[in-house]
Amino acid sequence: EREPRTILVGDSQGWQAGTNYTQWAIQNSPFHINDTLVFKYPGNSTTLAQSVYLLPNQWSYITCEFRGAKLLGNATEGDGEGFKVELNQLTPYYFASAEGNFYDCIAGLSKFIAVPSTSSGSS
Amino acid sequence: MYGGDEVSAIVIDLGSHTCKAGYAGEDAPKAVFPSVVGAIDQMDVDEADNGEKNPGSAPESNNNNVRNADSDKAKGKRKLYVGSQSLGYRRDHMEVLSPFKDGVVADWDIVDSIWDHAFRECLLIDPKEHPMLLAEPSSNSQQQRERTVEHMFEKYKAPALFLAKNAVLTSFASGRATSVVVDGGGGSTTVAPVHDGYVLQKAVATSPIGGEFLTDCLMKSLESKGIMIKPRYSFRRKEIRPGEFQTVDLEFPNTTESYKLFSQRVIASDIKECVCRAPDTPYDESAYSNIPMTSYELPDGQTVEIGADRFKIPDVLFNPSLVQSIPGMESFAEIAPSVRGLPQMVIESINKCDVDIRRELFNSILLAGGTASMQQLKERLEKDLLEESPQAARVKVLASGNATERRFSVWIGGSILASLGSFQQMWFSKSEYEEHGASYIQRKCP
Repeated sequence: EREPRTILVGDSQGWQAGTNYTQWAIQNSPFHINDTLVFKYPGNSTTLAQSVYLLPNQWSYITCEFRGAKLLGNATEGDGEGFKVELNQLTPYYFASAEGNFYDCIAGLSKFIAVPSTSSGSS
Repeated sequence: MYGGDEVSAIVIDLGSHTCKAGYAGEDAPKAVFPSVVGAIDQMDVDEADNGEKNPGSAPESNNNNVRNADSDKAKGKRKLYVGSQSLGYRRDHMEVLSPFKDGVVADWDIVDSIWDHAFRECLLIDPKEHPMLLAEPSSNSQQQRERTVEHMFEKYKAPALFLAKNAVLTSFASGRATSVVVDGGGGSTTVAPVHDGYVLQKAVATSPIGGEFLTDCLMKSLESKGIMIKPRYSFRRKEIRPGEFQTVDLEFPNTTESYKLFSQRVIASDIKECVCRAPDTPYDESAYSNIPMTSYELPDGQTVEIGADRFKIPDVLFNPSLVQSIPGMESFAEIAPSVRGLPQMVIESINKCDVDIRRELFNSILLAGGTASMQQLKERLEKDLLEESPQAARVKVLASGNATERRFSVWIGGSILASLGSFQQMWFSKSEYEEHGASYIQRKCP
């Protein structure tokens, strides 16, 4: 039985718009069921507030369409220990930040997919 | 998870009539070639390849189509000839075969030979070095998907794969998350509603009337007027005086009927594309009986005059029962009454969707495919739908881009999609296949 991991999204950089989380997710995959993702970002930033959204489907993810998106962590919840999301369903999770510019999002920055696996193998 | 170096993905749209293949990020496919292949039973191959005379066509170098012994045994040893060049060269006993039956892959050896041709002879790539995005029919079954996955990973050693529905790719190319895609291909016509990037399976409608069917109607109609289309291989033009030619018929008794038909269709298809256009209103025999003729010169020098057929043939898409009035099409007369015309297909499809999205669907009807690029088809469809749709609906039929973009809209959607930076995380990687098996395709490419 594998111990669930706690994974800091973006490593020491944390969660901020414009960062290539597609690449980060590829390097940190696979995610497993019951892993916890931690989104850490300043809670009272005067420059650019951050947030964590869950997009509803693959199309929304591809096209950066936030209609129907669910706000998981608002601007103040990333402070301190950060905002935690447990991957407890065997479905793709489409995480994205609504901040930053649209082109970044289309290019694969500011968002990533986590597809939890039940397997204990590593690849 | 695929995270390889940045190499171009390959995008392939194996349609019922033509296969489109090329690199992601480009504006158009690099290769477009027939989705049918020539096939000769192996025992006939030596004879067929013995450098027989074949005027009007430059013989190509002999390329071996090596396959494993098991599939040779299973299929009774065939040699397959793939691509426009190979199919343009007549061979004794060569049948023309399609990998599809009723829109579903029935012969995977032929699919393999088509993919091989695309990779090694058209794109000149090694498939194990490139992720593959494959377009698939909107109502592809899970079984067919898994078979495709296994082929790509086991036989071609692809590093990563993605399967995307034709209608979703067309919708994506047009920038719409919700639409009704009317795809007029060679082998069939499909109407598929897309909502938020997903095909609504229960509402997908398919008709066997596609471009090829219209071509056959035109051929039969011309034959009933005494015009026989001579395949290019069946004659030679001799210059008897400067500027004056005489056609000499050539005899090739070992040519198969399927190859003869294929060759005639190529010419009839060109006639169709040159002269046909959808009529403004339903075709009426008396109203069109006296319209001016249009001339078309056949390859053998014969000139044909085409009149009412210019409008009658395309109208079969809208009114399939017209087939019954075309001599020689009697074999289709029985099923014609049960086939619905294009406007009915669209309306019935939309009516099977949730009431809340019907308005949006009527407002975004997208045309795709070569047959849907026919002149005046957009205007006619929009007009018919305005007349037959609910009063409140605002009907908008969209034919984005030029005719080429419409013809290749599925491929172009795949090209855009696979070149996005965010797409890199969406590939179904070989390691995921090895870990989870082929059925994982449903999770990765819903």
